[in-house]
Amino acid sequence: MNLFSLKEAAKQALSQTEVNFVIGYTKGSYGFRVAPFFAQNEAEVEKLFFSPLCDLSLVNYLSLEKNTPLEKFGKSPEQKIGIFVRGCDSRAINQILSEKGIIREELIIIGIPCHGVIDIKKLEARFPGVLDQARAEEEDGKYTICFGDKSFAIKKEDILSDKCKHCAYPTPLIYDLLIDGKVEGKDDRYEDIKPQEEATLGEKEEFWKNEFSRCIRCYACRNACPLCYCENCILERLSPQWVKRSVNPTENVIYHLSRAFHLAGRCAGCGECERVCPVNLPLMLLNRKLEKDVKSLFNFTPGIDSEQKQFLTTYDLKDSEEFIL
Amino acid sequence: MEKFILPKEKLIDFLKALESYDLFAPVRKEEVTVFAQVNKIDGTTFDFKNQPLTPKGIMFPQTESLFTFDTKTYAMNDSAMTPKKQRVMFGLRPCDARSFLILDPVFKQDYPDPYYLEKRTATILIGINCSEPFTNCFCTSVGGSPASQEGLDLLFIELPNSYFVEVISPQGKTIVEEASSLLSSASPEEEKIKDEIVQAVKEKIKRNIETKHLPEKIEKIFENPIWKDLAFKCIGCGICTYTCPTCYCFDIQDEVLKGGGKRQRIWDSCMFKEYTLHASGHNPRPTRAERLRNRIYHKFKQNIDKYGVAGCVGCGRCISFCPVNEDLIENLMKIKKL
Amino acid sequence: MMKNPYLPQRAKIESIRPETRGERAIKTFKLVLADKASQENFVHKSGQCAMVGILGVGESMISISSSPTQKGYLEFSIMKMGKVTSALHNSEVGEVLTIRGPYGNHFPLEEWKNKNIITIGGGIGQAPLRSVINYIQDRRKDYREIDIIYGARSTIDLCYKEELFDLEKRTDIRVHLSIDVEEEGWDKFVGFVPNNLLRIKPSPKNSIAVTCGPPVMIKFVIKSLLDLGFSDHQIYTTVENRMKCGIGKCGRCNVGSFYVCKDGPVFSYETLKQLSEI
Repeated sequence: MNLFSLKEAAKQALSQTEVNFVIGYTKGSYGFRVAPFFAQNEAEVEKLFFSPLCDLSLVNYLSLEKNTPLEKFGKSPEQKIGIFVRGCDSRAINQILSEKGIIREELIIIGIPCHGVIDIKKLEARFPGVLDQARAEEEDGKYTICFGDKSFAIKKEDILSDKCKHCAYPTPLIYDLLIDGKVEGKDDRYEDIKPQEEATLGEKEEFWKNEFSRCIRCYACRNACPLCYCENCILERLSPQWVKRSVNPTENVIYHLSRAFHLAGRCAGCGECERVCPVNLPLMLLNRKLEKDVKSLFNFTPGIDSEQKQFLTTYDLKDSEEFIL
Repeated sequence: MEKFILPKEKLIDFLKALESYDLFAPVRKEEVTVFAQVNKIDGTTFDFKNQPLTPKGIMFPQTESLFTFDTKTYAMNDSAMTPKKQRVMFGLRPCDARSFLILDPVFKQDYPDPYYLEKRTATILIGINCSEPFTNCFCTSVGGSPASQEGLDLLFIELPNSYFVEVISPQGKTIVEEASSLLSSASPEEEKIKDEIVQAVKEKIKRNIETKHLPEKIEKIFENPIWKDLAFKCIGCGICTYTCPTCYCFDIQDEVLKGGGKRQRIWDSCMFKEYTLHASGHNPRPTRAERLRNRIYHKFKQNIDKYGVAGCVGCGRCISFCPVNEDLIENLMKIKKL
Repeated sequence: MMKNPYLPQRAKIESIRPETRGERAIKTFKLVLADKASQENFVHKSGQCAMVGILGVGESMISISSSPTQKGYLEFSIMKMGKVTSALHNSEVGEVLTIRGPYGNHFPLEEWKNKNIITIGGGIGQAPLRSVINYIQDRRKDYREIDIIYGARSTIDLCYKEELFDLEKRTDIRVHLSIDVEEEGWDKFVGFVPNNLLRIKPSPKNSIAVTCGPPVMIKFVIKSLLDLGFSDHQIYTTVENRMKCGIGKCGRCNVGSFYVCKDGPVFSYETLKQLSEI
């Protein structure tokens, strides 16, 4: 990862007068954490970096800044925003662009071809209590993790994020500047959802009843999802109220399945929902299954092209069904 | 204060001796530890070391039916709020026990809240000391400690082969009497070991912040633009409030089904945009900056003004669970430096 | 068993009087508590509010616009805004609603005895002021000069029209009505309420000014009052915020260190100035 070209790209973006800030990553406040950072000038660009520890998606800030901008960053949302994206992030942006959720001209996209990011929870489980700011580097299928005066070599697949293990689009599909060389995607056979697909209906019911019993409806999954940006979200509407706020088996199931269906054919696979959940719900299983179904039924993959039409809102005369249902 | 010793292998027998109570404890459910009612002690995996979601849910559940009603007759029924049995909560961390010092006055003052208070008075709290602080613990900075007795009826302190039991209240004494056959008196040597262990854990807490002049500072810099700097990372997900042991903001919503219904009380979060949204469309806290400022103001100024104690117990969950590394200690340090 | 502060009482709608029409219409509801003894024992002071609601929909904090001297019923003037108020507007005479209250603090009418009182209202803000005005009418000898300054966008938006026109006829109370924009047949002041106030120039000597209305109007009215020589402790207003529990627990309505439902809604400008979040 060429940190120099990363910073140069950020400086190049900032040199344009309409660009107020570049959203990137910086070292977190402790241990293995990484934090988002809004760099406003060349001095602040020095704080930006990228490493396998950068496990969060920054795309959320695009809709956040558009809807309720913090005045620190300039008054009008028409001004441009620079943003660092990994492969999955670029697909999220493509999808939002194709839905006309943001305008292409408002973005300066700096693409980072991604070799996969580390699941911080797995690292924290291995090394509890680490406060010193850590570093991680990848080489030859191994991660070297350093903190304090210690250094550890760990096999990549031991701590790699689950979402990265089957990632077919690690190189950003949309960008203004690309740092580093392209990375080959993997052949995604949806092996991770096979156990669920092959389970009986009774087993699935038992599994999900158990999982959803932990849900406290904190709405973090929806708030962290870059594609959940509806101003009037169906999950919190009061008139009419589709999903009640109370926590019980029925409402929890409806909440999660509704959200999953609203993301069908839109989910970019960034895995933020699962990463932020405080009770470790396996939400990506739902999204992955719908992703696979949409692919096999409609031959549609979200986020490939910023102009692509949505599979649910297009009709082809050659479609096998006679009506919309 | 009476002191006893319980051998470690007798812990399960101790819990079984409390069968006349409803027992709540941190149990492991598919890799996550939650506070739940324990019906069968055998076969349950207890987890006193890990970081469960907060025990406040036992007094103040995520979802609670305030009363049921009939939309035709307008009859209202609130009889379900009283717990049927006395309850014991076992395995609290001392910081979580201190959270009740902050929650109790809120629900007691002015219009006493029977839903919370009936559960609270019916629950005996047994804590376990922290033998190893978590990454982001800072209880000692806000008046707590890994072996604090505040809010507890009994405190278990882990020694190499046994638990050192401190009896703090009369309710604690009744528990000890019910399990007296399992306990023996603590010796001065054992007490000395206990003191050394407690001191050693205190020294292991690495994150600290001096909170003495913080309230005045926060009031002084209320209009300062630093709040925008602190809040830009925040995505308003609300995890900090849902995992916080002292947060108590709630919403009240009516749910109707076929002519009958319930008025539900559910947790809410001041970090959500809709929290203060008026029906007219006006929002007194329109951006993340105001909402973050309100949260810090509430915990570190308003609570001290009203109740004399900071509204934070230093458990560090907000820091550990925040997906974008909004670090409370880092934010407070920046405020102090201003 | 502890008293349950969340459990409301039933109240029947005795009458509904439409005040204004349009998208944000205002209606005045006259409610009588179902339990006679409760209605007789319901004691409130001007400025206090109550949670008015419909089972199955929710509750809304509304100021009590009748005076405590009006016995046997409670009046609420409600503007159609959101879910609960819309459902209230769809209710009919004879239907049952719920009431919880009274909540909050009140206008210190005891302290204001023997003073001149000036009420300055705009739009629906006149509702809590009406409780003060009705109280003063029933205790007229306790107060000196009374000036009622009230304005709305147009004649259709004026609340309590009939009552105010009747008050105009009294010789011991001065009424100054206004509308924002010229209208045929309107011979009184045309302009914003703060401007009407500046035109009337009430004297601050031994006076109390109470104002309620849209936030923008309150801001300018307070400025005008200060310019006219009123001091901070002579100016009172009410603060509004989104509320859910009404009893200072759910945290929603807090401003600075105060809960509007419990420590408000009435604040003197002296106190208001110190609140950080206004």
